[in-house]
Amino acid sequence: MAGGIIEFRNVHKWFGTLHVLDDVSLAVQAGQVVVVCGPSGSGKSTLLRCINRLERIDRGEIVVDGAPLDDQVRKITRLRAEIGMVFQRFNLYPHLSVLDNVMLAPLKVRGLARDKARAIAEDLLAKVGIPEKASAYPAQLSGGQQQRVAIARALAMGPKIMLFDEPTSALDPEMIQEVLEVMVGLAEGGMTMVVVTHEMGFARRVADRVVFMDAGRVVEEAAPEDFFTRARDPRTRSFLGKILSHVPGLPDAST
Amino acid sequence: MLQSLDWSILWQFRAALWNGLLTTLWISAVGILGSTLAGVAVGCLAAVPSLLLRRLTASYTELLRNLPVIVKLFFLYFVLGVPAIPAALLTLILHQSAYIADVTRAGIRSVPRGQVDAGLSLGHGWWQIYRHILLPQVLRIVIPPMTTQYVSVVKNSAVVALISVEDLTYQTQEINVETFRGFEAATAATVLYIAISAVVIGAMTRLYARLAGP
Amino acid sequence: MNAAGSQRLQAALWWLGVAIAVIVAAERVRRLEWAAVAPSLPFLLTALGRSWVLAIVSIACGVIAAFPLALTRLYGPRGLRQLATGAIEAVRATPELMVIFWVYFTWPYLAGNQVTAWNAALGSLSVIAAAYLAEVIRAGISSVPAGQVEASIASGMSGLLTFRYIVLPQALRNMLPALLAQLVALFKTTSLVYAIGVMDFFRAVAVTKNAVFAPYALYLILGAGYFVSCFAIGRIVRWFDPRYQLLE
Ligand SMILES: Nc1ncnc2c1ncn2[C@@H]1O[C@H](COP(=O)(O)OP(=O)(O)OP(=O)(O)O)[C@@H](O)[C@H]1O
Ligand SMILES: [Mg+2]
Repeated sequence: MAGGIIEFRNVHKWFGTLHVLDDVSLAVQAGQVVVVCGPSGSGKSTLLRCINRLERIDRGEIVVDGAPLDDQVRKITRLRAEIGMVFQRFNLYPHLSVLDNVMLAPLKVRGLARDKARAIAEDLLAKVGIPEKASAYPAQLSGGQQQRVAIARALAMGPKIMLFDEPTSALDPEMIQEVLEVMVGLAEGGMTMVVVTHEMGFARRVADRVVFMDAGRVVEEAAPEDFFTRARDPRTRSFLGKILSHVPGLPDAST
Repeated sequence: MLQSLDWSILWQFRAALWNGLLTTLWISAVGILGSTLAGVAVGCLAAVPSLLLRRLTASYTELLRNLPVIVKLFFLYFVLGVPAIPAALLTLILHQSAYIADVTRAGIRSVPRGQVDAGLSLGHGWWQIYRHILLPQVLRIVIPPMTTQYVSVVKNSAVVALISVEDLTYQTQEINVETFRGFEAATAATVLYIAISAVVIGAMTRLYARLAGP
Repeated sequence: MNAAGSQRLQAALWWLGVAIAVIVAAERVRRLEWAAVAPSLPFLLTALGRSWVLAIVSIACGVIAAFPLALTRLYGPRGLRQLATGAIEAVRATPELMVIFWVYFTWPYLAGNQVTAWNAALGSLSVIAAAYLAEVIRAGISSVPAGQVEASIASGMSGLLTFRYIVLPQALRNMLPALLAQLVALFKTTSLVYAIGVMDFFRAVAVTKNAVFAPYALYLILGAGYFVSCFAIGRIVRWFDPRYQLLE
């Protein structure tokens, strides 16, 4: 399992007395898509936020792209520029137009010239399917459109890794598909992705591995086929039973 | 009684009142500018997630907010021996900066935390996050509370008369001493103060409309 | 270093700084001219008490005047409403010091006799309190959602009953923190009556300073007197204000 682009080695983290990450070890190879799922409060978001150092860890080690994460501010900032992140609540900047949202980091972090940044931004907006919204403001867009802008914004930095934290769970059902399609496109293009989601259809289609977390621990880690049909841990089976039982057309995981 | 009022006194002292008005205006303007710079700086530091900064900035605002303006003014002027005008300006700036710091901090905290996360995740440093993400939004949010603060600066500037800075209030007292026409002088000064406040409020309202979001 | 460690380090640094500041300050304060000041302490404390009396009495008078003002501004007939609004806003836009002078100068015209500085101080502080508190009360009443009034009227309660049992209890609770905040502000404002010769805490210190040469000791007492008074009131404000507690 050595040589992954992301590696967790016996990582622990506490919020006060709450043990949110409990001895997590995990490796993601370049080009892989890893889906993380688990009940609410199990530490999925925290796991993700540790990768780009939005949260600090208390014990253990995280290695990203060959370099251990440490406290050096400059290194962390440089590293974050290589890791894109997409949030559940989009987190677009409401005072900037869609185009400016996407252009801000290329301009200020990469120091690109304006026309270069603009070309990149327009290109990406076309790629996520909303070129016509470039001059609109976030509040004028639907949730699905906002999330696609957020993906374009993250991609504008040309990241090596993309992190998604429940990117579709704040969306109305009819908009989930348009966002998932963009993500599938990315996965098929060879992007390294860590995706927290309960969209098991997405997991089946593009994930290389599915990780199940509970109470801060990685309980189960398997290829999607094995994960859905031969989960070892009873907690995994019970969780799958809950989220899959009302989805018609999918095999019951507990059998 | 009222018929014994003599409004011509105001015309007679027009030069003194005019000079007093100018002094009040420029002292207030410098006070507003200075307290905004100091207050926004302290407020930004207060919003950084650092225990040490939070405690330091809280000490600053608590200390300044819980002492009357006149105590600070007299301490600078009579105890430390700072000359009158600098003491006046420093007092106004220190006093209001504490309130403006709180307004700024509250404004920054009202921007959803997720936007900071988004900025950090894209590789922005804290300076850029403040400059391009937080402050443009905060600027608009804080205009209404900031208007109250600016009116306060104008009003607090009246105390500088007590260390003989020749502002509007000082001139009213002078007129009263010379002619016992305190009522007429106070009326004139009050009308002028209200006019200045009205101008400040009007300007801030227009600024708010100008910065209207998308 | 991990996250919790950084917090602990910063807390340690803070307390170290506080400890050093306290030690340095204590050493300096010990060497101030306390012997010279000691005889004046009863005089100073009495004056501090006088400042408290000024603040509390004028707040009380202010509240009594503020309720009709606020109600007129909210529900009064057209002309009266504008009048109340104009009076409230005019006082709020006028420097406190000018209001004090104003009462001091105007009183003789209205009452026909001279006014003592103490009465002028109480009068002007009450006027200031009335204007600011009227605004606090208006905001408190406006903070009760209109839907509740509609619901109450729809259930057959009269307008007066609705105000008494639905609006007022909530408004009072909502306005409490702002009310206490005004007490802090008014307490600080009492220092301005120095200008018309009232022997409040501030003037008492100023007078003592002319008699005994102990400027630092006296200003320390002055600052401490106001700071402790205001800080105490401020703490009570936070205690009552749910928004403050959410912010922490
Ligand atoms: N900044 C914080 N301070 C204290 N506790 C926190 C903080 N952030 C998260 N927690 C707690 O840590 C636990 C794990 O949170 P996390 O957000 O990682 O869970 P999650 O698996 O993403 O859950 P969800 O599905 O609800 O998003 C939760 O109990 C949460 O309340
Ligand atoms: Mg989460």
